[in-house]
Amino acid sequence: MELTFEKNTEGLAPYTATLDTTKETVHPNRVFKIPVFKDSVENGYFADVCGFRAKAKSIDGLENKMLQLTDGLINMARLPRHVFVARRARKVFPIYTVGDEVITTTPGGPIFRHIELAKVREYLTDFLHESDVLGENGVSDKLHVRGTSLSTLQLRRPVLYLKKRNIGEKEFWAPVFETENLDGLYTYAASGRREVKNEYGGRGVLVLTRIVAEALKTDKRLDDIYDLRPDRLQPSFWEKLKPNLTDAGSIRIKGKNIDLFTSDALHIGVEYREEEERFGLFLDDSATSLSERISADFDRRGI
Amino acid sequence: MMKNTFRYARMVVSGLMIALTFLIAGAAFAQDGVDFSTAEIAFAIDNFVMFICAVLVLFMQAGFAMVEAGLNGGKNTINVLFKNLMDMALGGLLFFVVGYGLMYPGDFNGILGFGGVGIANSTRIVADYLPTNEVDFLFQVAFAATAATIVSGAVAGRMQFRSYLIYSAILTAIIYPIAGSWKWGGGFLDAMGFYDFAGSLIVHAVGGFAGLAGAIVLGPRIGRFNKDGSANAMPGHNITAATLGVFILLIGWFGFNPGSVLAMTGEASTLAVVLTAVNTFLAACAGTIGAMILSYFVNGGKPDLAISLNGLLAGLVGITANADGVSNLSAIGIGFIAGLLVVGAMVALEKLQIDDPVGAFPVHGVCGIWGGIATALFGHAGTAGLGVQLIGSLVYASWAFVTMFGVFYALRAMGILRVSKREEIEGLDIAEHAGTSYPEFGSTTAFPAGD
Repeated sequence: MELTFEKNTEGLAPYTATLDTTKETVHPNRVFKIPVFKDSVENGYFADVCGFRAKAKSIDGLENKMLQLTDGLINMARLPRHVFVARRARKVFPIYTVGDEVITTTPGGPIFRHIELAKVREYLTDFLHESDVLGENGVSDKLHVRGTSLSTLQLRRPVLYLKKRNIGEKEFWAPVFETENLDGLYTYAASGRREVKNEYGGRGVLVLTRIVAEALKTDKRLDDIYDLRPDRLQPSFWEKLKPNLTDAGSIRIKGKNIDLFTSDALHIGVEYREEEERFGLFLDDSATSLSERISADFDRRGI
Repeated sequence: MMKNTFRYARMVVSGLMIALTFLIAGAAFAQDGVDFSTAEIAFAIDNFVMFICAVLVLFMQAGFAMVEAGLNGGKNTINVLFKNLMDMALGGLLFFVVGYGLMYPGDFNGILGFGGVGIANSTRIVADYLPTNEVDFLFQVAFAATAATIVSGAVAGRMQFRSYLIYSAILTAIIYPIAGSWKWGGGFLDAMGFYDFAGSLIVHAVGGFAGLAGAIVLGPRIGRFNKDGSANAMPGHNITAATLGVFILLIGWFGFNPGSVLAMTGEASTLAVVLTAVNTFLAACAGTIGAMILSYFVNGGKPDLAISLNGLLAGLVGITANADGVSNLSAIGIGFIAGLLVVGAMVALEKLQIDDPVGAFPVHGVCGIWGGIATALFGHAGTAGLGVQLIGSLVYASWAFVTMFGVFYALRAMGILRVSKREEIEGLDIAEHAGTSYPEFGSTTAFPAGD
């Protein structure tokens, strides 16, 4: 493993570290450009590697810290492709991807592995609650999922989440990330990785939602494909999708304004979630059923 | 080809024994002015062979220690090794004081008797073999320690050390010796014509069912099962040690089974010893193959080493009841089926959400029962039939499970059975023994730290 530093003349990061893991990992890309920031409080430098922070007073000191950190993060010849973050407990749990499975390990304890990130999160959350790391179940810390960039090893928020939240039915949840080469979207759901390329333009979000819904229906985990919806869509991706849709006006449900669109036979309702600055989409095959669906979801959320 | 291989193996074993005979006889005759009769030389050889076999069986404790330590987390290594040590030390003393007399009570009602404290006062109603009580004690105490240590693997990672000592004492002093007396002490199962050559049931099934009781009463380790019923793998920390342990057990089994012929001199005994040795080896190989094949199907199309290692042990346990009286081909069949059974039982335990970290019950409990039944199914001349073998299997399984369930349940009621959640997560090495087994390596923190 080799690490070199280059001084930057512009930008927020005074240095860029080039980390070469060609001999240690099996990723398609094994050389990473990691931004190094000035720590003005402690008068030193820091860099984040897959959500874990290395800090030192000098660049030389940081080199050792980063090498140690990266060495400890490499597992099964891989760096974590995702992490779970427990904010209050101030812990980060690396998640590795082997084939179509995501895996996380605990020292001397269980290994959690599944096709779906959501399942691994559920299992790990239960384990951490039972072992008193996250506090009391249901009222305390949650694990937040993040992807890691395979060019900079910095954390990336999901582009959106695919959700099924029907009262009385088993829930489904899957984060969707941009692909490693930024040429599409992917998620892990229903026995494998599901991916769409950018050839669909901004409609990739809807195409991926449909692919996952059909897969879940085949698995008998979804009765109605419109029960699965894209939620918390990042504004930049909404801006890419919006020009592909036909404006159908708006409707007011339980005091909230919902913009309506159509795409071929698909009816789409869009809720702007102010607190998160993200967009929640509802899908159905008619305006009436779409309205009922949105209303039911608002009831569930106590709106 | 196979026949030639067996013949070659028999020749090698026979050659070694002849050499051993000359060695001992030469040493005896080397003493000036002393003539020994053939009977005395035979007596010496039989006792010497028994002593070597006892040492081999005692060496199995090292094998069990390596298997259990290797298949468990590194944070529990001291605890696992300590338990194995105490099975021998505590169990050995108690078996001397109480166990041997319970196991060989002399004339008794067939269910419970006591031949006295220690070795000298005990008498055995089976008097047609030569070994002294002393060498027989060494042989039998190793069996008792084996039965006890089987349970160690099933309860690993979450049981308090003091409770383990209590359990181990009860099993080696009372439960196992009484079970042994019913057959090897001339008890009611012996009178019925039940056959268990070297202890598939008496040693292994007793240990395996006691382990099952412990695993059930203790409950699974934290994180072993999810709320949706699925299981998480909790891999061991040192598969190299586990593999070494299995090979040690294989070597030890050449004391366990051939030694159970209890004699070496004379044509009949020699033939029985070499047949037993070859059958033991073949069953181990077949068990490994059977388990490896089945592991493809339960491990996502990839062969699993830990399962295959358990397959080897399963084959050994299955052949232990009948190694002296079945054909070589039958031994292969018994071992192969044991290899399949062990995988099936491991999957079944997972479905039932019973956490047996090393597969002690599938290997020793299930395959112990299989060994007892196979004795009749494969036509061993020593048994009175399948019905008697089934009765014996039921008796041993019930005896071990019910009594030890009661013991574990009582320990739980006293609040001293299981360690706390915190201690379990930290590891029993720190919590129970204030030590770490690998201070130079790895992290002693339970979870990775990060901001």
